[in-house]
Amino acid sequence: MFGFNQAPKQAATKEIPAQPGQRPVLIRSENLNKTYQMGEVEVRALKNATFDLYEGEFVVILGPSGSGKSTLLNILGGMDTPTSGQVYVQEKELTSFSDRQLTQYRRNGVGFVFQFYNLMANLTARENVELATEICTTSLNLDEVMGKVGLSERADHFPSQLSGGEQQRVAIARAVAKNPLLLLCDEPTGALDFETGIRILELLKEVNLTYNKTVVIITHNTPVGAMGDRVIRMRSGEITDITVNENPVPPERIEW
Amino acid sequence: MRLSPLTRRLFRMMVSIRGQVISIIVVMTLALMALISSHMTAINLENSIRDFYDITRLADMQVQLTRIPANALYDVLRMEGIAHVEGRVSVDVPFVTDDPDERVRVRVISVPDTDSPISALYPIEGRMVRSETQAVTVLEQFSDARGIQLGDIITPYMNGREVPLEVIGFAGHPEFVYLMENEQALIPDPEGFGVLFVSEKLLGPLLGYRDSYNELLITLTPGANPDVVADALDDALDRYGVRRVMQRDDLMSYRMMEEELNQVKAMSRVLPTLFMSVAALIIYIVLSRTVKNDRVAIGVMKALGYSNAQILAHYIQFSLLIGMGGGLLGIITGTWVSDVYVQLYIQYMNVPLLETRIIPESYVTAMVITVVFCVLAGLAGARRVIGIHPADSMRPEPPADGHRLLIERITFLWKHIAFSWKMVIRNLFRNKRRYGTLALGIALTYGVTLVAMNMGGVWQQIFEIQYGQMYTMDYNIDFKGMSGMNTLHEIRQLANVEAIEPRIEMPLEIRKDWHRKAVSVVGIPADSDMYHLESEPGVPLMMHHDRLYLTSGFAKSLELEPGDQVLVKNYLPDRDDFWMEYGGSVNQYLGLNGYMTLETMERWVVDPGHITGLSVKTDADLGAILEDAHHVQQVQSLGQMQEMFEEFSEMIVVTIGIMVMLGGIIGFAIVYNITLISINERIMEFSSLRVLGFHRKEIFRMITRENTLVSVLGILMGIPLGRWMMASMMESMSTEVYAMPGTVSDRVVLQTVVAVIIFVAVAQMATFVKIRNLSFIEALKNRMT
Repeated sequence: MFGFNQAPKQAATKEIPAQPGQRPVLIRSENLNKTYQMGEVEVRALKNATFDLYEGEFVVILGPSGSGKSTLLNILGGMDTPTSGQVYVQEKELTSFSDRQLTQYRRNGVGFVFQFYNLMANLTARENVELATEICTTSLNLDEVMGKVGLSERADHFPSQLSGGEQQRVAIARAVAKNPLLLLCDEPTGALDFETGIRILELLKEVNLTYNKTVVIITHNTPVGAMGDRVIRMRSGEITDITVNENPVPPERIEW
Repeated sequence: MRLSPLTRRLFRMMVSIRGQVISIIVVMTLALMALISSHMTAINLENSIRDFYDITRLADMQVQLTRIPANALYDVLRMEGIAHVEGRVSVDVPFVTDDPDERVRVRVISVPDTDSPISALYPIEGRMVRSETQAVTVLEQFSDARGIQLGDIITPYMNGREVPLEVIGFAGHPEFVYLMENEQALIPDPEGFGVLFVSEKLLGPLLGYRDSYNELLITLTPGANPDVVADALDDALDRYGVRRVMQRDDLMSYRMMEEELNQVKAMSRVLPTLFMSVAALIIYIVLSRTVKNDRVAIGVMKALGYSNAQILAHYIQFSLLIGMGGGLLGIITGTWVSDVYVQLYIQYMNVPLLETRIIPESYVTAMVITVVFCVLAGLAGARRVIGIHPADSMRPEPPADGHRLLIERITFLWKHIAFSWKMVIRNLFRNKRRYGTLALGIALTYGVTLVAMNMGGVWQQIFEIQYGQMYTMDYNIDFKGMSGMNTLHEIRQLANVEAIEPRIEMPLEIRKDWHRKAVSVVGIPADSDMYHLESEPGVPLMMHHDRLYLTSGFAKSLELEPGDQVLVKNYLPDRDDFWMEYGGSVNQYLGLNGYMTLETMERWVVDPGHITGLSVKTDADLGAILEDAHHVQQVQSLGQMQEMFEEFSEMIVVTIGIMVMLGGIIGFAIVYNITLISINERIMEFSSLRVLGFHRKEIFRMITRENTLVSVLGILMGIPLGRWMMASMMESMSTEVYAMPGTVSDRVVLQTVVAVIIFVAVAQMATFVKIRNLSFIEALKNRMT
């Protein structure tokens, strides 16, 4: 179904059986380690990170800055590679992908939402979304997605003519319209005021439910954890705790 | 057709930096204009010249001799390698004009009464003379220059009397495409020297050549070796007083046209390469800075799944679009300029077949070169795309290294520098690459402008050196044939002569290995006061007896090294060939010559006590005094030559203007682009300064100071660069006949400094306007471009 499956090099695979009563595993991460060399100092950004992500779930990765959550997100998104350990996406070993396969994966498999939106300044809102859909094989209807994020009226505006919240909506539309396996959101509310932030979280939840997409949010903002189906907590590169929320809180009830 | 978002992004980016885009397109247009115009002109000129030679059957060989009877031609025809032979009579005589002070000379040449003679007339207007005894066909350049009309009666002075002839037609002639009287004349003077064609029936009896000739025109059989045939002719015709056997290369017009072609071809290589390199450099700079600034955007594209190749292609499209724009404009303007060139050639040379024909090959060459340059410049500029890691690009770049500068450690000095200057100096040293590029750009501008300014002055410089410093006589007198030394005393008494020197000038053939070339060798007193020859610029040539000195281009074409022995072939009858040591090269910019001491010439070439001319210093009008002297062939006034060159240099002033303008455009394009890029990169910095309370004026002052320091550095680097560019450009344009001086005078160096300061100032002003219109608050708000 997804373009990266047709990548030329045959990636390593591993059969991951779903646990009875649970959703199928989308991503399995095993003993992920990432070490950076900063001058003479060796920094271990990730230490033995092992966890699963299931199809259609809403996961919040919580941790203070420097805890390794962005590194983890980058590796899951095929933007970075671990020093050791494996990541399997739908049983295919992402960590053995070639550059070309990683590009295909990013193209069709993942949608990114960044803290600072990272829109192309000289493309309109619609064109920013089009930029992503143009190259992927299974994109959703562009107008429908623009309508979903509430930007039908503002589609022809340039980023500089949009508020921060609107820009982040464009970023979400850009990620969703590709119809990816999962949405990776790096501090999506970090640059926004409280109310706009809540609105963005609502939108992400809606995307999760409407399109049955796996959504991963990383944030240092602890109250956001309450809305996740599961919360993965990190500190100093390690996963310290994985909690299942039996009753996730709707975003509008979150406060910080 | 719906454009992809990336293409739309590219167009919008180009519109937002339209000033830069336009400036690069202009430089690219100039490059292609230069390429297409010179390439097309060269091909058109070459084709038409070759066609012209074919149609008119230009002789492969021409023999000058004292007299050969018509029936001896059959013997010549029987010789191996010879296909056709024809005889003719050719003589240089005065031309009678209404102005008694005007001295005009014509070459009168007999035309056979046959259908397709060798070196035939090319009819332009009226009838071509065949057997008429009172009619003349005039060479077109001469009739044009003197306003001669069909039906006019013109009067050459032949055999001691005026011979009135009716003008019945105008013609072109393959031997006089470039109309020069002899090797000493260096630019055509169609008003002062012309060619008249008359029937053999008239000229033969008139000059005492009934059934005999003084010139032979020969065509060779295919595959014949011209050198072998020339040697055989030389021997076989010895008894008819062979003076010279000339191959095509020895014909002045032929050789000048070949030189001209070579120069146009050299121009078609040098100028476009220069402009194209500048355009490519600017594209490279613009793209590499754009890619640097687009780091996050590129990271996002990669995160969205765009491949390196797609992103690279996106940026290379930028240079290709510019190339297409420049290419299109270059083709249009280049075709137009080529037509202008061709019209100029038609005006100054007589190639009747010359016309502007569109040469598709020129367009294809131009487009291929454009694409190659643009793709390479684009690739070089955008190659950093590949190294950008999507994850890294999202993180802010680490702050620049903030260590102390070396100059800061010299506390005594640093203490005394004002704070505002300290900021400037720190900025310069912390952004070495940025300012280094700007300095390099200014250096290049300086180099190009210096070449442009100096190029215009080169011809003037050549004339000044040749006729102001090398030759200091006022007149050169040539005798008809040889004369004794007593003529020198006679002339000394005729006029108030300040100084007078004997001269022997003879054509000789120089042979070295398989090379053989004819050259006019001048014999002068070893301690001549009128010939100030130099071996290198500024180094006087010490002439030794029994040695031959040759102008450098000519020596080079023979691959001669000082000390080599050359075989010298004497064209005088009954004189033997001899071996002589090559003494070294003469640094002479105009014309090709050999030099020997007078004594050497007397010993080896002519009989002792004989001279062929005189060099004279005098205030008197020697031309008028010697007008009727029967043994004087011509009196050449160097003053007149200088005047001719001055007229010639008026044209050059226009050329200088155009060249400086081109230099200015390049300079502006370079400085404008680099400064704008640098300002765009510093918007955040300027915005912060504004927030801190800096006035616009203070920021301007800071930039001006930075740019002034960089400009000084750029100009200092540009001076040696420009000198080198000039030297290599002149080297590539130098030919056998013209040695182009690569030296640059201090005056031009200073003029160029002024010009570059103006270019930089204008480019700065344009960038200041840009700064003034910047919204600093917006800049601080926007985090991503």
